Amino acid sequence: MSPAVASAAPLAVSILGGQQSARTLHFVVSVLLVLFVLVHVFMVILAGFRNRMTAMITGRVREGVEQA
Amino acid sequence: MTRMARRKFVTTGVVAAAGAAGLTGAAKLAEHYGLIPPDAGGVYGAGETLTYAAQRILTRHSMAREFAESQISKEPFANHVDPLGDEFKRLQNGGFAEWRLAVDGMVARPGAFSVAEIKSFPSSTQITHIACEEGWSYIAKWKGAPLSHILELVGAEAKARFVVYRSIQTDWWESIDMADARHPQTLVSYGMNDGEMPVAFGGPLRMRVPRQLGYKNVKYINRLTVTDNVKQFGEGLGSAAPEAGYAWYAGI
Repeated sequence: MSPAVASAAPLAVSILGGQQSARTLHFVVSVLLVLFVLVHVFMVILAGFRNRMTAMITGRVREGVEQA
Repeated sequence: MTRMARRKFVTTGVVAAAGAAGLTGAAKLAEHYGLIPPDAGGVYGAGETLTYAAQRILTRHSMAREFAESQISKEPFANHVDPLGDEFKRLQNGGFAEWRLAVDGMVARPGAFSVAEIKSFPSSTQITHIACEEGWSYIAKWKGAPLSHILELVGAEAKARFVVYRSIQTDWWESIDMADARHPQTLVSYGMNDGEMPVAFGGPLRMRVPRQLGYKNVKYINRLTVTDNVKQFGEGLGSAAPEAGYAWYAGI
């Protein structure tokens, strides 16, 4: 955890139980985030990658090609 | 083009133009106020600049947290040190009586101080945390002479921007800006946990920069150079760390 930020905002470190605890939490949460991303990208692929991406970017959905 | 679409187009254009002008202005302002780190080029340069500038604006005068005596680590971790060489052994055998800390560059009175002289300066003691990029950390009590006192003693010029510090280990050298160099907790330290600074922890003299990571706390320092331009040292990135892929500014 940033020693400079810890100097300006020591409470942020204390809330997380100290620098080493914050570090451990950081590893766990970052792994969970990566898993979250992988699962959701997989779901987009299952649901039809092109159509889902088009829907996300333009808001339009082609009728009749929904798979899930 | 419908009315709404045109309005959107015009708004977007105005925002983009203001953004570009703002960026140019911001870059000039940042340079003027010393918010651009020496390793601002390269793939990670933008990120380094953003971190350094943000932290200099928000934490310029913040104090590293100090701990209680009871929180001092029982077994501080002494990191691996490369073989120190014959010159170091010779000085060590002489009890470091001949060890000198040379101070040069943009100073009115360049000189060289012995460990005894540095110990005679007003001292400062702190119980602070040191954390390494590798993950380990410990809390220890450090004693030393504030670097700001030494800078005043030698008459560092007002326009100086960095202090470069070098070690008897020639491949480990660093530099810090004046915000850290004149910071009251930045010490040329010679004592640890109420004793002499052990050689494993950087004795006889170690730079102590408690608001930055462990690698900025160079062991066995023997030379300080006050400068307004770090481009002339090494590969021009400010210190040895960015040459090895680390950040120059290690407030992180």
